[in-house]
Amino acid sequence: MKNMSKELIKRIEKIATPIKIMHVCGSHEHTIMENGIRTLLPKEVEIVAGPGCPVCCVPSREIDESLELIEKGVTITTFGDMLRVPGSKSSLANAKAEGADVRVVYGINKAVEIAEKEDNEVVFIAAGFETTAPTTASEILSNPPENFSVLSCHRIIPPAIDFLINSGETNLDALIEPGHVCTIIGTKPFEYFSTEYGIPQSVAGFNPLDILMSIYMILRQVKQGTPKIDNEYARAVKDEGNIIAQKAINNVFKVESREWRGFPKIPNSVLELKKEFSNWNAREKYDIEVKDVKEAPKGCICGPILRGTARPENCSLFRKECNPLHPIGACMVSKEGTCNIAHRYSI
Amino acid sequence: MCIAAPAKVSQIDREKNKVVADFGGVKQEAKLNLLQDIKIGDYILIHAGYAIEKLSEEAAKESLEAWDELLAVLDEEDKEFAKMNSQD
Repeated sequence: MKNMSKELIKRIEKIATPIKIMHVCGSHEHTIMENGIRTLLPKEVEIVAGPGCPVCCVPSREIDESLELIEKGVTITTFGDMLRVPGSKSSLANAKAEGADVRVVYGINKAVEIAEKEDNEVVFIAAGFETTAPTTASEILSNPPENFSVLSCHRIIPPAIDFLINSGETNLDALIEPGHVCTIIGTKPFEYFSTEYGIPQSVAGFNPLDILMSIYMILRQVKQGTPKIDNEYARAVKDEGNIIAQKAINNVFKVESREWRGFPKIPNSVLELKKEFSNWNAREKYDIEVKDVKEAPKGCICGPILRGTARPENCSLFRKECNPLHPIGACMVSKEGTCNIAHRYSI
Repeated sequence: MCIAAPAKVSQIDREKNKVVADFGGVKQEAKLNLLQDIKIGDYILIHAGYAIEKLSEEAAKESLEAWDELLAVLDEEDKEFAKMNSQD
């Protein structure tokens, strides 16, 4: 058996051309940094991280909404990474330390189980991209108990990519698409980036060889002048995606325009529960309204990092005031955040 | 956060539409609401307590042959591409 990584790097070197390739997945950034992939590539091949960590993309407003729900006495359930994401003044972790009932769950199904067993009001703070949204949709379609509701922070990837392409700020030439988002929505929602904007793309898995292969596939498209979306991760991604999961998303959610952390309002980029499910929509059920939202803590450059125009090393707080034990920005909180990953793997 | 790991289905509860799946020794429950036609011995991809896709055994094991085969397909396409261009 040949040494596959050497073979792929040799092929990449042979057809390398100056190119900026963006990925939009925290797990891809993790694989790239853990394996030193940037250092293996020819210097003209640049890999930048985009808004690929769904927890990092949750804006202060939605954390503030969660904190207001705590004021109303509900039990908050959410993914562990969400606890230290900063809101305007505080975080769920701080609220928990002060005695609020905030519980970490592995998935929304565990939050529903808590609501089934207990009498108190239980709210699930539902972060996540298209990979996670169908799990929320499925629970809502399963008629959860009346004391359960969801604060949807679900976001969808293609509108954010479209925003970045048209912003003129990031100047990306090619895209590595997120494997497990594509497991759900397939490759079709990304096709127009190639047909309309001429951008080469490859869906990639999470093994270092997946990343190298997808870079090779992108460079090959550039060489041949045939921008399209290649599917490097065919072992888990069908072109049409998971139709059952897509139907669940479409049945439960409507698309709205809202801000992401580091981004202004992105058209049609978030998922909100449809009106017929408003009994389980915490925003409707508890009539929450937050004011005086402050986006980034002073000095934090999570915004440019999420837009792919800065690296953690460009931030004056990185590794000083801001570190995994004391994160100031959202990108240092999650293990999928670009700053957290850089803190662990870069020198 | 979109992490999903392949696991082998070891038990199925059809009434609750759940499986117990084995991640190389670690067992975990997953709901089947987003997938159809799963049986014991199948490999599935699990995310946040839900099975989100069925995988072939070869895909689940991520054998190196898979990348070798993909490169062979790409090389074949390159030959076709070169042939088409030389005919133009």
